[in-house]
Amino acid sequence: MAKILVCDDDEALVSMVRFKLSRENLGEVIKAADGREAKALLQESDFDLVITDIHMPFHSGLEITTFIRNDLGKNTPIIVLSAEGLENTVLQAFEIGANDFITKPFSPAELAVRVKRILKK
Amino acid sequence: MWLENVLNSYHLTQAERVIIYGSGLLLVASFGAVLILFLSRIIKSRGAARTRRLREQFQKILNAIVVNETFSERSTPVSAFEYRMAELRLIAGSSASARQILITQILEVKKNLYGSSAEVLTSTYYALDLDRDSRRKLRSYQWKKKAQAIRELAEFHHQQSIPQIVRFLTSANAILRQESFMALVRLEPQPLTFLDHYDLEISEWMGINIYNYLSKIEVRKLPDFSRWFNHPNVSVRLFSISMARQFRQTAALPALVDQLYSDNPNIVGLAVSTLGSLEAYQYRKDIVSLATHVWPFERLAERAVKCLGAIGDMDEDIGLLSKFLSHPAYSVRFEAACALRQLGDKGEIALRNFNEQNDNNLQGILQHLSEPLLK
Repeated sequence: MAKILVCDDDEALVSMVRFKLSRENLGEVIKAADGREAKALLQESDFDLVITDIHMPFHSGLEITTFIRNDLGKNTPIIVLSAEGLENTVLQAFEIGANDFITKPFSPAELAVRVKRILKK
Repeated sequence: MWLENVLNSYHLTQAERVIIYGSGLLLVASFGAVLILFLSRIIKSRGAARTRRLREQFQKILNAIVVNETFSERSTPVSAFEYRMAELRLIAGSSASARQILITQILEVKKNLYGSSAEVLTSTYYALDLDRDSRRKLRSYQWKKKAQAIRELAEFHHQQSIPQIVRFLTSANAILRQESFMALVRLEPQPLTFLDHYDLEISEWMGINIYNYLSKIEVRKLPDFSRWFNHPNVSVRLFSISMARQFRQTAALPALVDQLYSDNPNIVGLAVSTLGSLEAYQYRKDIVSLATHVWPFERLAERAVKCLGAIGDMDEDIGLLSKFLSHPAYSVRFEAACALRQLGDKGEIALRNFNEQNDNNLQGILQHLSEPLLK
């Protein structure tokens, strides 16, 4: 079973994502409420997928992406989830190594399809 | 009585008695205060625990509603939705605070979702008659509750409440005015029609929020902002010009040019900037004519010169723009130099010539313009 790390300080969103992904049998969802917790979890164990918000306390989602790619040197697939759909932000996310970008508001069904596609690769 | 006997046995003076009684009273009052604080802490922490518990319960059911009821899972029977509603009704009961927690939780979940997932949450709000709770709050004495109600009704597109919300446009409370304004932007079938009779100020914050909302709706649903260019309220005029600029409504250009002759300098300034942003080359002559008259007015001169940089003519406007290089205000000289550079090679030559003929007094500006990091 895949291990998915969801980093977001929005409890309602994390709960929704966890419910949807579990229902689709896509994996075990582990939650990080802020950037610091996310970094600690990423150092502790390996994940098959990371879904991260951009705006989080302590470290942003972009910093988490850089941390995974540069500091940990891992190729873990990353989906960046953000309310900020500005062209610059999207481009920056892809440049530093994100595999996908989803703009909030989003559809849980669409997220599940994207997760499925990434995990299949 | 007992205390009186004890005090009498010590033969105390009147002052000593007052001190002892006072100390006693103070002790009792302190004890009472500590007791009240202790009780209030218990009540608060119990309230917080109840809120947390209810939120978790509601969240679980809302997750199921969103995931099961959207088009991705069409096989779910309709009765499942009714079952979820019954569950929510059972938990929330008739408690106003529990129903409020439910409304807040629905909003929390809804803000991240769109499409059928968001629609099913709106259906949940109406199926549980939560709109009645929101409308009741509109009659509350507390402005915070009223503002909360306005927001909820707008979020769930409760169009029947428009007449009640309109009344808050003239409220003495600025936050209520802003909330009702924003709610009407979202609720009215034709966005912003209420502006026709709006006679209060539209703050920058309101402008930003409205833009944020309008930028998410279909362009064809946007109103023609030029209909408010001659509104008696200057604030509405400024707002509509800036929206015409943001949404690049070039059809508003003829009405916009008329604003160049307004007696309000803020409107003229914004109209000039907008003509430049919308690249209104056909109205270049109007800007040239304005530029020759605005020398004494720094802000207007700056904007007119900047506009000419965007829509000016390389052969005809270099002379006029060069004159502004000796304007007493630095900002105007700077904009004139930028504009000349924007006009191409001839403008560049005019800039260099002016600098040489005037003891290199444009050197600072030219260096600034040549600095790639400042572009």
